[in-house]
Amino acid sequence: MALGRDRLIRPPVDLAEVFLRGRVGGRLTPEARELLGGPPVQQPVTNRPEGVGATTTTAARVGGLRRGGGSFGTPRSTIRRARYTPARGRENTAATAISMGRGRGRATGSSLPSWYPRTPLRDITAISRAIERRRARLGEREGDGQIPETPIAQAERVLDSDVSSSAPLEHNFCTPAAATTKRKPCPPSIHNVSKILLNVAKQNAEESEFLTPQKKLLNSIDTVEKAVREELQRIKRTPSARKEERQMKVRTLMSMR
Amino acid sequence: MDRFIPNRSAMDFDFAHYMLTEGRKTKETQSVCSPAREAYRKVLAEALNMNRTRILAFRNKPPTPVELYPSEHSSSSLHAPKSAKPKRHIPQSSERTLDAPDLVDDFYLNLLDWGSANVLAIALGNTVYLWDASDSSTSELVTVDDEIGPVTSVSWAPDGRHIAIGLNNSAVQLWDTASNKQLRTMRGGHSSRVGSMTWNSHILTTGGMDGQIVNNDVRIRSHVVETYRGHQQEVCGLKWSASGQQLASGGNDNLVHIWDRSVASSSSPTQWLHRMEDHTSAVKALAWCPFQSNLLATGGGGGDRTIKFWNTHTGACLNSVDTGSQVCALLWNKNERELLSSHGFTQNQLTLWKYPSMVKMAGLTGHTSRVLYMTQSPDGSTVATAAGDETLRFWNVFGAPEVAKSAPKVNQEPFAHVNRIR
Repeated sequence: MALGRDRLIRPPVDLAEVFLRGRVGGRLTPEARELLGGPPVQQPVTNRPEGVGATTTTAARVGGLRRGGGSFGTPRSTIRRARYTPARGRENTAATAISMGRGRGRATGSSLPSWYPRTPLRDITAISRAIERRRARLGEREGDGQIPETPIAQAERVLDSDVSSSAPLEHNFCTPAAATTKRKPCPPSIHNVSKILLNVAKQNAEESEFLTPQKKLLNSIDTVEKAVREELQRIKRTPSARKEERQMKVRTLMSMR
Repeated sequence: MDRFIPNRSAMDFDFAHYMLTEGRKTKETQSVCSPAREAYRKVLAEALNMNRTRILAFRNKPPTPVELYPSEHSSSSLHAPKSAKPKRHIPQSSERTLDAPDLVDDFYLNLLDWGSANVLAIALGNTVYLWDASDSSTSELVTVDDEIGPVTSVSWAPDGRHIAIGLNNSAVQLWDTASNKQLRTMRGGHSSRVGSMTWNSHILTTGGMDGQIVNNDVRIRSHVVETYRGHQQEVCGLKWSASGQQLASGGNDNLVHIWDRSVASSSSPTQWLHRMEDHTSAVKALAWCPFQSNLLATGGGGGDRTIKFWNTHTGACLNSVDTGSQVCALLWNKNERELLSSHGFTQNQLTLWKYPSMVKMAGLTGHTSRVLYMTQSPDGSTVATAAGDETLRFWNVFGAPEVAKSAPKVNQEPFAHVNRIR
């Protein structure tokens, strides 16, 4: 559409060059901004310092360019979904540099697939959980190297391994996976103690991701101890147990006669 | 672990000083003391001390007494370990996820707010949507033109009916959501976008990218009643204290200012009461403590990553905790002594901290992009977060309000509303 409206003959402009060269003190110069077609913004009086991320800004500029790539050269009013690109500011620059490493090529940065109809504030709980589960399953199946590692996938994997190491006592029974909603099938166990251990493991896995392995072990030992003691008490209180005790006492007394 | 290690940041030093020196002063007058005076003195001491007897505050609660071996059944009186309340289960994933297309992924904006009428407002691009939490219905409040948009901040008035909308073109619109009508547009206060806003009864305080903080009286035609100057760059965090006496502001210049209404109106050379320069990155996360009136928590951006606690009467930093990632927002639990922080790269998690020990109680994950916007329901049970991954998530992290103690409301500190007693 831009070609149709633009009647003046201009020399071809390399937009990437303009973007890279046109930055002064972390902000686009007004001329560069005009060429790139961004919104006109009043310049604040003071300059914004480069900040800590000086070395990352080069990558970030290109990243910022790519994210807003859809709207360059086209008037904003004709595109309904041209997103406002907040490429300025130290806190945002660091973020765009990181999003470069995503490698998935999602235009909008959303977790939903691009073909999914977007309605503001529609409930997508089930869909996002399904997508999360599938991503986790894919990650497990493929292993390293086959899917380009993203920082987010790496973080997820770290979380997963943390969780599985928090339940060392139950490797015979079941490995609860707290980070994803899907659970591997657990073999049924009859013995009380094993049930107690399972419950403890579930509780531990869900609530104690941030404790060291030693602390987790200590915690689980404590809870197991408590649970076993409670079980013992409960068993002791049953009428048959009480009868047994009384009979024991009677026998002792009779023998001492 | 020795639990008798006192925690300085949890102590009230004014009270401690009074308790230690009070005896000396009353000894002289004890001889001539009528019963009425005695009684009055007692009541006064009770009110001012707020029934506190301890000066020192410790980190951990006393451990519950546990038997070593289960004793003989007939002879034992079981000392069951008494815990104060059952341990609260904090679900680690979000309760509900809503789609938020076109949500602007900008650290400096404040696009999410939950009003006291239990309606949540969120700005997606140029449009402000209202989500009624009672029936989960969505309605569109307004779509602004491309020239004045996108929307850069939303803030509900205390009545939960009126809402202020800050725009990229520096204007602020005021809407009545009961009739869905625009009441006014306030222009001229700022010269660039309005990224942060906070209410103090009829005063709407706005912070702009120009570094200025403007107090707007929404009832009068000439709405600019005061301008606070101090920040050199964009004001991204802005919060009035619960008493409405102090205002906390954080900016992209790494500064945190405390503005006091009594100081600002006097003829002092600087308008601010305190200027805190400890953070090394932009400060957007600000949260006033609901159970200690002069305690403020602040969170630093990507280069700082710390949460710091401040005594806003003295300006002293009480504590500083390294969280490991960019702190985007902070919320205090209204019912317990807990603090919730939201973060960016790498985990984009929410972290729940016990206060004052700052022990991590829980980590909530789900967002795949930095959790820039966070707000809580009026009953304090649910937290809503929105991120650049274009989702709005709800978390039942603070627990049901029925379990809440009503005590914090009753324990109003005497003279909390004045900065100096004179």
